[in-house]
Amino acid sequence: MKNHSAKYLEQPFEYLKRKNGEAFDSEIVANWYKARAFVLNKFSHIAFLPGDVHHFHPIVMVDNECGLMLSVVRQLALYAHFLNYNENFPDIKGRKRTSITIISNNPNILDIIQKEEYLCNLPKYCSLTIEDKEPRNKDSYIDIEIEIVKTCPSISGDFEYLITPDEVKAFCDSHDSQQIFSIDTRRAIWTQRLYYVGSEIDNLPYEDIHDVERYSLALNIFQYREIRRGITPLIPKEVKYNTNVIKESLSNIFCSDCFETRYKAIEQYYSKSNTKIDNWKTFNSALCMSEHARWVSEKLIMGYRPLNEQERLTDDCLFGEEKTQYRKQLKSKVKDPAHIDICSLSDLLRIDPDNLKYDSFLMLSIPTIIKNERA
Amino acid sequence: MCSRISNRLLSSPNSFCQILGAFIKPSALAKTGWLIVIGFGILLMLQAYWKLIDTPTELYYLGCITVLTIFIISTCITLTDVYSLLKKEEALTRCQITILFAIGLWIIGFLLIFDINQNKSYYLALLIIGSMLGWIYKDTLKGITAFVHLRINHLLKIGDWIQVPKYNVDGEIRRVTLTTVTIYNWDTTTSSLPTSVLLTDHFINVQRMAEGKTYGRQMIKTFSINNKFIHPISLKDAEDIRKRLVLGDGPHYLQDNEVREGVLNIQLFRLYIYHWLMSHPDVSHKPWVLARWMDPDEHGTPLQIYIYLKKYDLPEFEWSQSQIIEHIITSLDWFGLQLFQSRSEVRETSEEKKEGSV
Repeated sequence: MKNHSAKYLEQPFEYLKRKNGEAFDSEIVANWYKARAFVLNKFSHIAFLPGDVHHFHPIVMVDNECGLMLSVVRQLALYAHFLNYNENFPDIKGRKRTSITIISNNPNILDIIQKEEYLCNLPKYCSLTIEDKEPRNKDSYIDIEIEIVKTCPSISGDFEYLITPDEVKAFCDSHDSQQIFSIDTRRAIWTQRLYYVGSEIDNLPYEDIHDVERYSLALNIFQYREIRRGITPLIPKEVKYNTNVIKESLSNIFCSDCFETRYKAIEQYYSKSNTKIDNWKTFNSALCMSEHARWVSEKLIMGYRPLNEQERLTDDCLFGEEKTQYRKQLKSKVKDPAHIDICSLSDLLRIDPDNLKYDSFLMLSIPTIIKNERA
Repeated sequence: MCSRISNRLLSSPNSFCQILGAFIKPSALAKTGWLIVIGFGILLMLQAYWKLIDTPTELYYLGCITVLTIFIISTCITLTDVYSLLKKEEALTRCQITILFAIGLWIIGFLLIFDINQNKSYYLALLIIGSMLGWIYKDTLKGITAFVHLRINHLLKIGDWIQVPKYNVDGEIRRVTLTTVTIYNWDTTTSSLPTSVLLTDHFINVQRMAEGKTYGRQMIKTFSINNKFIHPISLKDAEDIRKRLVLGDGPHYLQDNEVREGVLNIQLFRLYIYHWLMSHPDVSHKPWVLARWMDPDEHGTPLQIYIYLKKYDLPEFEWSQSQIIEHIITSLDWFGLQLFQSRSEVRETSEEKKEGSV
């Protein structure tokens, strides 16, 4: 765990609301914090470079309807996105998805994990195997696959980990509650700020996500604008009731949580000089693919879904400002939000290439964010 | 350290700070400027302390204006990069004009330093030699200008795929010199062009598109629909189409309310093709997906498909294009349509008859 500075510690999960506007139970919120602290602590050393033949396989033991363990599953789905994931690989095994196995005897486990506080929409769109049945969504573009089993499988692989309720409870008992129940938002604040740099720079080659020269030039120069802005909390008091702002802020937290694993992956290749932007440019396309996959999983967990057939056909026939408004309207539906960008990276490249610049920009900004955070 | 200060200044909204930031930015050109400064410094030291060499004063003046020009150009190039990120058109123009102005000043400075006008015989000799050399090496000089222009503006590099329609050149650049560009054509022949041709004539650099750095590779195909088969659909037709394309398994490309009695079959066909293309994994939505009717002519009513495919490699592109064409031809039948076919068999028969009569 990093050294915390009190002024950067925030409790953002408290502000999240259910789709019907009600607050989540305090126990659920507490489980989210515990699961986040546990997962980040236990798995921060895992990192894969593009082309790595291994894949991460956590096996989570869920007792009946144990909220804490299901929160661990949720946190794993938010966190475990690696650079060796390749959505275009013809063979499914070669795609190197993170495989999460849930051990549970509860016959209703699928309904439970699809609750708003756990995986929400993710199981509907990712590859899902229940016992020995044929997997659903086998060809899914999502880099997480879920398997539900009744008995514990044999653990033999290099990156297979069994997570038991006792282990998580022991972790929570042995750690300071302030460390667990508050989040250091420094990285998330920087992520948000550099995301804004990306959105302010107009003339970036969005049609060419691999043209990293202009991104790095913009980052090198315009980060200083953000440095001048001084320290502000990630979620200021006045926006605590604005659901969209809360979701955006949480997205920045989930995004910055994954920086460590990416940083470690680049470190494997470049040793100590991994804070140089030039070193990150080499892996830009893999970083973008992994970030898009992470973003898709996060959005599905946060309750968004891809456009359905009817919405897609309507979207096809709209143009210009009307199309933009329609997409915004779908996105901001409180009960059932839909997002056009929830698709594979190759589909995004043809459907909404303008938005690709954000992935590339954010990934290239990781060394800058880490440097600024240290300063 | 210098780079950090420079970036900090460049990020400022104040123009003066931006210019200062660009001035101290350690670019390659600025480094050349500093090298010249160091070179002249060494010369000065050699002359002042050890009197080892006797350097003419003009050389120092020339050095000064050269260094100044290099710094101005380097500053303008850095500012051009920054302003182009922010799409500041006016500032970009100012930078380009300043570069030209700096070069002009260097030429005037050169003429003044060497005081060419004072000695008329020297001036005349220089003029004659200059004219002769200019005439003899006119293509070389044009080539050098073209080479510098193409390189500074990143218009060309070895390995680029270029097309020069006027000279029927279509291939990959193998060698670029001050005077000649060598191109290996796709028909496995080799072409050599004077570099100046690429400045004066129109050429197409296909490289960015071939590398997949554009929205896609353009596909334009026109299908002439036989007018005889255009008609409003009946209730039965509507039911058949609905059964096949709206209620069947798999993805659907028509909305239920679009398929109704009385709608023209070509309208439904166009809608179907448009939605199908929008969902096709190889078709880019940007810059556009067009399925449009062209002017009807004696061959029928042409439907033009104007799209960009995310397949850049020629064999892949052609494969995907062929699949799209095949699907369009197959789907014509679902709407009771047919492509126009000139009645060649009728013509052949009449020609045969004529031959027979002769």
